[in-house]
Amino acid sequence: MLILTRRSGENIIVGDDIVISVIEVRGDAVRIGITAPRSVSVHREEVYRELQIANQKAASTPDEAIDDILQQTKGKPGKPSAEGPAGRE
Amino acid sequence: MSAMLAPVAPVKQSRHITMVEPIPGFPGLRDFDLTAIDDEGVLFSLRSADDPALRFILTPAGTFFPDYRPELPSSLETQVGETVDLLLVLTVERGLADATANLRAPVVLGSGTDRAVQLVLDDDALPMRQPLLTR
Repeated sequence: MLILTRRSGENIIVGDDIVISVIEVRGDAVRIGITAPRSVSVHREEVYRELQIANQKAASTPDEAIDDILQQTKGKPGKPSAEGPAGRE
Repeated sequence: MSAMLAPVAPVKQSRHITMVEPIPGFPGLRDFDLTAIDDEGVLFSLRSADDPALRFILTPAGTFFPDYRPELPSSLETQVGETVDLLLVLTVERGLADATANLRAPVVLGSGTDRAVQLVLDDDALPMRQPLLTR
């Protein structure tokens, strides 16, 4: 791992088009700004890891569980329209 | 052992969806088919075109969470389109009683573009496992 020392207001450039800026250092917290192309996704690590695990679990929903939801919501008030997802600005 | 149940409703017309970023946990998979499971638009399957065994169950956000109006970043417009639908990823083990929805990371689908992304919202008050039923 490359380790650099930077002060508040200083930047690090990664590749041609990613800039990591140290915005503010206060106590043990650092505010960091990241400028990157849209094709590069940026996440807080712990949130991203949790999402990976949540998605893995979501991908194993059995058909019987789907049937149960449909049977229990059928004809209930508040159900959505048959047109599917509603548009939203 | 659970009893035999009727199969899930037959596949209806699918919409081909391109994930502009892979779904976290499933790198490399971008082509999916979105298909309504039921006639009432409660559940949709999002199935990988490259790995058909991979299927997510989604529900339109308003179905179970009519007040769900997260703030969306303006960069979405260029990513997936100006008008979007929000779909929530469900995790279900047995049925409605244990079903949860991921409110932190909805699938945002461009209405006319067939481009989508699972967006991680910058709001840690939104749970990744919100029960569909309030207890």
